[in-house]
Amino acid sequence: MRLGASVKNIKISALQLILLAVGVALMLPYTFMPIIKSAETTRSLILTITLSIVYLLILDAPIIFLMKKHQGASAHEIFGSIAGSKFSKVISVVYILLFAFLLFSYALIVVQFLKTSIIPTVPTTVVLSAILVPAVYIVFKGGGVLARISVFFVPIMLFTILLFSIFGVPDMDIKRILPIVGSDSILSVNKAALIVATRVSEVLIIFSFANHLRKTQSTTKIYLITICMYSIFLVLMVLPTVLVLGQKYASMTLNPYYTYARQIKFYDSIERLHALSALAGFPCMILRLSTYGVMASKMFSNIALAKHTKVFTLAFFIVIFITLLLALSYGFFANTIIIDTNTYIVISIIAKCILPLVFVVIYLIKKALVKLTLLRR
Amino acid sequence: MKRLCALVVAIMCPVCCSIMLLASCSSGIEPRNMAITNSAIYDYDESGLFHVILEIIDSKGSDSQSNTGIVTQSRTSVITSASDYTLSGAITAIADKLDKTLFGTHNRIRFLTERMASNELAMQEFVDFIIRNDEFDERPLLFIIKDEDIEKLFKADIGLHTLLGEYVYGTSRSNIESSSDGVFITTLKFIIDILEDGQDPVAGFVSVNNKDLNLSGAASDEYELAFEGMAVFNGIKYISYMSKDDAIVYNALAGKFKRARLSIYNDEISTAVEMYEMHSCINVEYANEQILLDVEIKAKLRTGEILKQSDRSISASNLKEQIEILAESKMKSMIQDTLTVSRDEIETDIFGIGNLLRVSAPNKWRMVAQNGKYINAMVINNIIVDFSVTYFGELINPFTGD
Repeated sequence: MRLGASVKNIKISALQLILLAVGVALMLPYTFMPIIKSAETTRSLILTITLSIVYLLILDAPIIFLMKKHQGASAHEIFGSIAGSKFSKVISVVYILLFAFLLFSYALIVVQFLKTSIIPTVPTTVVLSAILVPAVYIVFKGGGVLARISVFFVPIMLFTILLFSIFGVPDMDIKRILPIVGSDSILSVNKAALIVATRVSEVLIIFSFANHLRKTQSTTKIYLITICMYSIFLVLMVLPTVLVLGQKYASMTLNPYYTYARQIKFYDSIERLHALSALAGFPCMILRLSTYGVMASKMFSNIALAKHTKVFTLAFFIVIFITLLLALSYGFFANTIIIDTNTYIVISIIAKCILPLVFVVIYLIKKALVKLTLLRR
Repeated sequence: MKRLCALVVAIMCPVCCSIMLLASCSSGIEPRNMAITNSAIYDYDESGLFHVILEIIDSKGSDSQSNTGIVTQSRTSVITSASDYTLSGAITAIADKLDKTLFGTHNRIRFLTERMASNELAMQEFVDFIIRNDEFDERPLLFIIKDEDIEKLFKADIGLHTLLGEYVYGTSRSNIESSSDGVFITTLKFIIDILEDGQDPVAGFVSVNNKDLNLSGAASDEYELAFEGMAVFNGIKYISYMSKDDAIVYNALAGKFKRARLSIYNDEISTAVEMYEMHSCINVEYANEQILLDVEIKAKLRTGEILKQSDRSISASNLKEQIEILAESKMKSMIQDTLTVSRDEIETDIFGIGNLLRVSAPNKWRMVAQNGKYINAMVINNIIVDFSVTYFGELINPFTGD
C-alpha cells in the first residue's frame, strides 16, 4: 500500500476530523497542562481561558480565511495557487520542520510522563519504541486510518474527562480559583491568554485534512465546533485540577491532570481511577504523535514523488527517535522547550498565524490587482 | 476487507500497548511479589538521620488465641525500619531488606514525629520526597505523634482490624461521623495549605495512652490510640498541639463538621447535646490596619440525657430555650478561645483568615501580606451562634423519678 496514493484518495467525515482535532488538541493539557504551569498564567484562570479562546479565534483567522476561499483544496494547492509551486514547496519544508518539532516536543513529554509516573523501570529505548512504532505504523496506513482511530479512542478519553470532573466534585474547593477578577492586571491576564492561545496549533490539522472531507462541508463550521468542544473539555480538565490541587501545587507537578486523577475515588468502593486516565490517554498520545507524522508525510508528498514518502516517514521517525534518545540522555526536559523558553510559542505563532497571514496578504493584493486590471479594461 | 483489517490492526496496536502497560500493576510486578505498605512513620533526629518505619501487609497472617482464651485476630503486618541521611536512602535500605518489591501507593497513614515535624528542613525534604516519588502519593492521612510514642504505637489495640493503618483509617471515618474532635487531613490537603497564601496547615494528632481495662490480656493490647485534638503548623513547621475543643471549632469553621457532642450544665439543668447540620460563615474585612472577623454558626441540636438540677418546673418551651442558650454560649466561648489562642499564643492562621481576605479584597491582602505576620492584626468583631433544638429524643420532659 503506497502512502502517496492513499493520501490522495482518502475520504474522512466531518465527525472524524472534529474528533481528531479535539483529541490531539486536548492531549497537551492531558499530559502536561502548560496553561497552569506558565509563569504568565495568573490566578485569574477562568478569565485567562476565556480570553485565550478569543485570541485563538483571532490567531487562527488567516488559516480559516484561506480554507474558506479555497474550499476543497489541499494546503499545497492553496499555497501553490497563491504564491506559485516553488514557493509552496519551500513552505511545505517549513511545515515539515514544524511538525517534526511538535512531534519531538510532545514525544519528550510522553516519555517523561511514562518514565516518571507509569513505567519508571522500563528502559527509555523500549518506552520510545512503544510510542513511536505504533505511530509509524499508523502513518504508513495514512490519514484515513488515523481519522477512524480517532472516532474509537477520542470519545473514550472525553468520557474519562467527564467522569473525573464529576467524581472530583467532593474534593473541590471554590476558594482556590477566587477571586475570578481582581488579583491581576488586565495586561498580565491578556499576556497569559495570548500565550495559552499560541500553544494550540490544531487548526493546522483541519487545514491539512480539510480537502479529504467526504462532502463539501464548511470548514469554518468544523473549526468552530472543534474550538467549542476543545474549550468545554479544557475547562473540564483545568478547573477540577485547580479546584482540587490548587494552582501552586498543580503548577509544580509534571502532569497536573494525572496527579488530579490520582486523588479521585468514588467513596471507598472505587479507588485508583487514575489507571483509567492512563489507559484512555495512552492511545490518544500515540494518536497525537501519528497525526504530526501523517501531516509531515502529506507535506512531503507535495514536494516529492509519492513512492519516496514511505522512506521519508521511516527516516523522519528514525531521526526523531535518535534526537529524543540524545535529548533524554542529556537530561533535556519538556519544561525547557514548552514553558521556560519562547521557542514553542515563536514556532507555533509563525506556523499557524504569520505564514498564513503572509499568504492572505498576497491573496488580497493579487485579487485587488486582478480587479484593478479588469476595471482598467 | 483490506480496510477493515487495517483498521483492526491499527486499533489493536495501541490497545495491546495499553494492556501491556497497565496489566496488573503498571510496574509489571505481580501483587504477590509486592511488599505493600499500610502505614509509615517518619522520624528525624538531632544528628540529621531520618528514621523510617514501615508497616507492610503480610498476606500470611492468621487468627490466634490470646492467653485469656479469647480468640483475637493477629496482626497481619510486618514492621521494618531503616535509617539514613535522606528519606530515599532510608526507603532504599528498607527495600534492600525485603525479598519483595516495596509498594507505597496503598499506604493509608503517615505518622510524623514531633521532632521531625518541628524541623523545617526535614519537613521540606519530606514534602519534596512525597511529591517527587510516584510510589508515594498524596492520599494518606497525616498524623503527628509524640517522639516517645513510636514504639508504643505498634503495641496499641487496633480493635477489630489486623493492620494499624486500616484501624487508624477506619477510626478517622467514625470520628468524623460521631465526635469531630479530631482532625483528619490528607497529605494533599496539608501540602496545599502550606502553599496557599494566607493559610497555615494543620494535621491530625495521635496519642498513645495506657489502656484502663485490658480484657483480652494480650501484651500487644496494653495501649490504646486517641485521635483527639490537632497539630498546628506555621507554614511547614509544626508549632503546637491544640485540644479537642479547638479541633471541634476548627472542623466547624473549616466546613468539615459532621457531628459533635457538647456537655453543658448550670445550676438548673445538666445535659448533653449533639450538634449536627452545622453551617458556618466567616466574614473578613480590613479596616484601620485591622482584620475584622465576623463568625456565624448555625446548627441543629439533638439532646442526650437531661438532668434537672433544681426543683423549678421547666416547661417544654422553656427547656428548649434554656438548652439552646447554654449550648450557644458554650460554643461561642469555645470559638473565642480557639481564635484567641491561635492569634496570641500560637500565631498561626489555621482558619485561613488571610486567604479569605485575599479572596474578598485582593488589593488589601497584597498590602497586608507585604507586612509579613498579619495574624496579630486580627480582631474578633462578632461571633453569632444560632442553635436550634429539633429533637428531644423519646422523652419529652426530664425524668425525675416522681
